[in-house]
Amino acid sequence: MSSLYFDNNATTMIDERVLEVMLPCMKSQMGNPSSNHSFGRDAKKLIDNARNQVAESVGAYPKEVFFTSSGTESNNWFVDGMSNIYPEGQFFYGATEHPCISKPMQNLKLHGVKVEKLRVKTNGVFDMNELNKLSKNEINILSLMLVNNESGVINDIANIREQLSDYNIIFHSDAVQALGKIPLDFHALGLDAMSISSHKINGPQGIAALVIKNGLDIDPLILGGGQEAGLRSGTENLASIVGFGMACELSQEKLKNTEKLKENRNFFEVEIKLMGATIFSEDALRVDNTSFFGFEGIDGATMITALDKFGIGIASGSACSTNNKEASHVLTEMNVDPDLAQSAIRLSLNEKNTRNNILYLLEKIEHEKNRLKNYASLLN
Amino acid sequence: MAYSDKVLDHYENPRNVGSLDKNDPNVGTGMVGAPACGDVMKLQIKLGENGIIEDAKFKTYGCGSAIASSSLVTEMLKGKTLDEAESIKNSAIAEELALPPVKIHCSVLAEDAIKAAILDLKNKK
Amino acid sequence: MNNLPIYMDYSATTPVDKRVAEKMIPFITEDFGNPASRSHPYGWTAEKAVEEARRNVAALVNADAREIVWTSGATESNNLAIKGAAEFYSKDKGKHIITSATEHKAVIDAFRELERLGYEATYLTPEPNGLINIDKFRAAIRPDTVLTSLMMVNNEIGVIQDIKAIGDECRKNNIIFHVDAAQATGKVVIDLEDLPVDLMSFSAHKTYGPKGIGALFVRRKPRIRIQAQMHGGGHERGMRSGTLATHQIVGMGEAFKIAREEMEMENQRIKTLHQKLLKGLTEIEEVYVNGDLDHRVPHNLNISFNYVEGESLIMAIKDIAVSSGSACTSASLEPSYVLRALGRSDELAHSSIRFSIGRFTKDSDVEHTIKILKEKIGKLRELSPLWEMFKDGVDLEKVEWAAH
Repeated sequence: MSSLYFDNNATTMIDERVLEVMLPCMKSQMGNPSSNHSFGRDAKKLIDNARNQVAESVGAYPKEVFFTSSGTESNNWFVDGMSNIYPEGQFFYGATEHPCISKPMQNLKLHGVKVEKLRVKTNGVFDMNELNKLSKNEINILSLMLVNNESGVINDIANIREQLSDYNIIFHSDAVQALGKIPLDFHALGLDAMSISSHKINGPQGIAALVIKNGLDIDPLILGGGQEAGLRSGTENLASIVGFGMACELSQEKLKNTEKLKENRNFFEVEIKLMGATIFSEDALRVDNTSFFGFEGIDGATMITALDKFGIGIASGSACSTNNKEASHVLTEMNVDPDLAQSAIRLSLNEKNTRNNILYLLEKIEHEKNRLKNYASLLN
Repeated sequence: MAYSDKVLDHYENPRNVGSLDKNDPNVGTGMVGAPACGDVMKLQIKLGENGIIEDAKFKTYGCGSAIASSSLVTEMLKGKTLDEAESIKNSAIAEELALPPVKIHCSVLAEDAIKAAILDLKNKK
Repeated sequence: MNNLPIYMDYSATTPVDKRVAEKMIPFITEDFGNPASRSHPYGWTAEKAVEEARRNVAALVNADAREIVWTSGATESNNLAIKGAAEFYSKDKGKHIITSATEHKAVIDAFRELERLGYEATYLTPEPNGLINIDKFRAAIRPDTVLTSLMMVNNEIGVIQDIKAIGDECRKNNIIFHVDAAQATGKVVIDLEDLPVDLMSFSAHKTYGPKGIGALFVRRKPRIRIQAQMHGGGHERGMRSGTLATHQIVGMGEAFKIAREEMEMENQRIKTLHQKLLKGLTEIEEVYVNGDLDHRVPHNLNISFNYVEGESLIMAIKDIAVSSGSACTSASLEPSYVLRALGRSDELAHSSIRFSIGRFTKDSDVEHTIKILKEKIGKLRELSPLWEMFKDGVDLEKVEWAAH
């Protein structure tokens, strides 16, 4: 079944080995990790171990890893937590950020905080000229995503950080789409905070983390029992944390085998271009599994509904916004023509997609494209 | 909280639990601490004819470290002169039991109990 | 299995019911998909399961499925309800908020945060039996009171508040009423058709579901609005963004379904166990039950053992997994703030043990617990100079303690 699933940037299938470590947490008596008896201490140990695994996979110290319920929460927390500490600071975010960065940022703006959106170039890569908007005399809080969820574009975060070496800056990156796709080194990137999520790397849903540089002051978003060193309250999501830890460990292994993904993606793009598709961000540095494309005049949402009938799972931009019938904000920010943007489809591969699966997909796309084109011409 | 094996041993098998006759002129009683602080130690010593402590008993209301500290102290006291007893330092108790930093006050309390018991004995003489 | 301690800490967390785990597992292994991806069948299967779970959660509390918003747990629900409602309604109504001193930390801390933002908070002190006096509540109400938050069942002492009476007062005074029901589901009947409650928090892992998932009830009629605390993809009708964990939602739904079907039978059994435990432990001299004995869930028994010190007591009964005070604060050795609020002395608060029993507690577990407690309390009192003085008839209140 999973072989015709081409929507791995939305969510991934859980790895068997992840499941194996999670099941005992669900099936046997487990204590509350805060409880001071053997059940509680055992649960605590499992969490400590998972924290080590997560830290290891992103080049952070275990005490810099704070578990949250989703990438969305991690991103909201960073924005909210910083605005409490630096209400006078200047906040900046990239134009193609996920809504869980842009919306809380816009929310701050409504409350009178200085917030500014920074542009990307037409290929979706961050426009370095925009850094001129930062001020050397003030504290700048900057959030730029490492990998874009729709286009797969990789931003050169380390270089951006270096350009800003003279600035007083707190630098956050949404690395949810980067984890497991490119090597991550929190400290080498020069980041102060970084969001990562489990279900994008074959781990369970509902668990994520905000990595916070040791010593960075941040206010909690969710208050209560004081779990996660007082910064994120709520009984720890034990089974999912254990699964996330294992998924992080396994993601390191996957990083060594991205060649096949790249081959398959490149093969797909050669073929789809022959059919007349436009590939977005084609000349930019991108992650190996993603292709963002469209056929002018063919509505993307219509196309994916048609493909769905063949058991094909593929997306038209980010899953969170499929309820809205708006063009992808990522493409809008890249100044892509609205009609073309309306046609966007996102392919995101996993290791299990074979060449044959891709051929099948291409065949169905071609078939549906012709059918929809004829249909459109009838209407005109 | 992780306790050392020595603390656990004294806690599980406390030595010299009990009371001596506090009206005996050769018995000194020291009671230190307060219930509201979470620990109260009662330490009693009995001086023999030769000026040597021949018996020591304790009762303690408190955490495992407090119980272990007072139990250990009763063992240390037996066979000592008052001067020797008075020179027992809390650091020796803490070291012997490998007390964690948050429990050092238990050894301080044990030292205080020794001093209080000796003072009581001297006042009787 | 025999060397495992007896688990008597169901109020901290419950094991996942096997039937719940079985229902969850296919959603991790097979039916994956992002519930918000409406465009392909993988997403559709997940969405169907999520909506079935929503109906099951709603059914346990007699609410409409559309009134249930998923969260990462009761802590998040409490934060979202309190901060979200205060933010939304304070502009019109005012900035006074009311809660009690014995609420869960998540509620207290959300109130403290609002205080920092310029709200004025009243923390009601309950009666010595743990219950809120309705007259005192009425007296605390002001024209600018915008929100009240009270828990239905207390996590430490198990008392049940009169939610209906307090809710009626809130309605009369146009106050938004939030209830933390994390410890109530599956233990007491909750009928939201009848209860005048606007917002209610739930947790899965206190009712034999998985950790890391919870829900917030947000009433539709009359319609209650909250300001979202997490912004993003616009999941959960804009009230709570973030990808939903399908298997965990499914687990919570199944756990609440089982609770609905089995609560009545289960509570009878637990009541019998409670009676037995209460009788056995109160045979010990100088023990004090914390919290009202009539208005309480039978799952909880909180007892102070006089003249023994709390930490050594916990050490002594290491073969029973219990909690002294709330699990969230057990890393610190401060006496329980809940018991302090009831007027218990530091000593009694220190030496309190919360026994909480549940679905898998056996008769023999209770018997064994009583036996161990009797033996260990006896041993510790043998060691205790306070017990000796008490037995000698010394009034400990009158003793002048050497300060140190």
